[in-house]
Amino acid sequence: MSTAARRRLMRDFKRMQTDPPAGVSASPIADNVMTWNAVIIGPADTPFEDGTFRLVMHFEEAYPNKPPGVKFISQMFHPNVYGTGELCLDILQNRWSPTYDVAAILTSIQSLLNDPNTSSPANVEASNLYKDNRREYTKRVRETVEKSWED
Amino acid sequence: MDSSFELPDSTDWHATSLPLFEPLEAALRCEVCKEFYDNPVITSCSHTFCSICIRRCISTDGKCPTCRAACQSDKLLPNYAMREIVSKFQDARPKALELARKDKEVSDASSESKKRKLGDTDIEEEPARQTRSRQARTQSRRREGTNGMPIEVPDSEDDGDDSFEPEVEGHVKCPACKESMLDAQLWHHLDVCPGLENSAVGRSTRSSANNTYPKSLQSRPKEPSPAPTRLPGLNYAMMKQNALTKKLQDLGIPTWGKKDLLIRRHTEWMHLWNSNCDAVENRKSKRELLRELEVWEKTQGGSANIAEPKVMRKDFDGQAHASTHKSQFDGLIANAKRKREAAKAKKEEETNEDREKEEARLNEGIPQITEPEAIPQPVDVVHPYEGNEAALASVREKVEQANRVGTTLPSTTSPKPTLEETRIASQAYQGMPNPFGSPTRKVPMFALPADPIVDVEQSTTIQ
Repeated sequence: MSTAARRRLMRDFKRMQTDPPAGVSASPIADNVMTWNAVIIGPADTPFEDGTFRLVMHFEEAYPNKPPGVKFISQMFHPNVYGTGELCLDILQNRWSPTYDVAAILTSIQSLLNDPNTSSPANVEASNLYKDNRREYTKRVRETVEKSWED
Repeated sequence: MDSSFELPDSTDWHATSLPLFEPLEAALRCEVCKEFYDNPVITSCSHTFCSICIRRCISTDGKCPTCRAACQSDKLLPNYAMREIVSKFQDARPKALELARKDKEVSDASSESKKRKLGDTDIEEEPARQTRSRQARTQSRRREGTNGMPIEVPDSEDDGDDSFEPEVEGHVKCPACKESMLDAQLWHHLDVCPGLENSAVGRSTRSSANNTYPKSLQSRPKEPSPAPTRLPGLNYAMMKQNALTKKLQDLGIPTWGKKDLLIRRHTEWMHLWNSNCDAVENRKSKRELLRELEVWEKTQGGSANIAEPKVMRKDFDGQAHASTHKSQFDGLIANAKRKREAAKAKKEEETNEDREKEEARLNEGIPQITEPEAIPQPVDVVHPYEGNEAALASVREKVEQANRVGTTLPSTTSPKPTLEETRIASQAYQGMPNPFGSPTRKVPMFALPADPIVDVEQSTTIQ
């Protein structure tokens, strides 16, 4: 059944194909346009550099009036990512706007990687290390980067 | 997923000789659904959306999706100019896209074979392009003639073109009965032409008399049926379920379900009904609207299956999912890397060009006096936004914004202008000059400006 949400998702997919932002990629899974797999490459000149971080996104029929559910399935070490992979990102919650699309969401997450918000941490350990011991933080992040290559 | 490539989109222009049509077309599309504006309406904050899209947004959170200003659905006004532009652009689009694609192919081929710079090619190709486009037009018209099947959507421009190549020199067509005759005979003929009464007399004065108009335009003066009255909003909180059921019954929509569902159903019906009132032509019948409500019922209403999706459950096995979809993820990784490499290569190329220019300028201007070391080399500086026009635009806008509002917000790093714009706009709107001012206040994470100190630390840590 063609609904506004599905049409919009097909368009998001087309835009990811014809005009993808650098370092991110996403496509719906084979039998369901409402569930997507996505990849974010860690941005250059950050501890996350060259990591291949996998995510899943789930859209509701109310998309784009409701934000999708997004979570990492690669192991992450980041102040704003929970152990379950769920993200604490304002634009996926109270700052969502229906003008955002898949490309906008993924580029936002990509820039979140190097720009964490330590004022409301989802991972307290990562947040504390980020603030107090950047060397150790970088080391822990590099571990997840190397792990992301093996997945 | 091949079907997605047949979906007309503004990004289609990227692979043509007219990449600047991409932002043009994007400007004619609704920011919410990304389709061409359908019954465009303008908000009190002067943003334009499809009527149905903005109505749904307003009932979700009462804000403009672009600037987050408070909006009301009864303040929406139709944007007729936009409606006209969109419809005309859609008519012109297929042909323009086809030509621009062909043009790109040809210029690519010639630049490859002659190994010239693109700029030169463009200039020299100009006359050839015109000829080609005329040929293409003639060909397509010929095809139309033989098959009797229009290939393109009929378009006033195309019809106008016919007139520039009359079949017999000196002959013109009567605008009313379309009979071909000598120019001099036409004025006499117009007095007696039987088709004249019900056709465009006024128009023949506007353009040369040989211009014929498509049927759709000729019939346009006919007044559209008067718009049905818009439904007023209801104060659901004050209504008992019985009253609401009665209301839905009066409207002729399903009345089953609990109060919450009745409210949601009535809200959606208002979206469908009221946006249909904004339509000028091709207004949908109530039957069609009821069918759309039925789709809503099945996907989001009472008959919808709203089980929590597997992938979002707490016990979802990400590892297993990753291995099940391994090939897809591998493809995605390859894609993401390819694009990044391309961006990087482009950036390096630009940096090199800059350096060359810099050197050339140096050699010309100050020969042998200044040491090259004294000149700042652009290579060592990180330019994260280089080549990213969208990000640059957003940074510029932010600087402007900061100047205007008088705040000293340091810049942030999201490359998407829409996020930036809305954030800055809303910060200005809330009058919150510095989110760090109050530590107890819950600041939206993405509103955090990049801390310059953090950046310095970061770079020292890495190096």
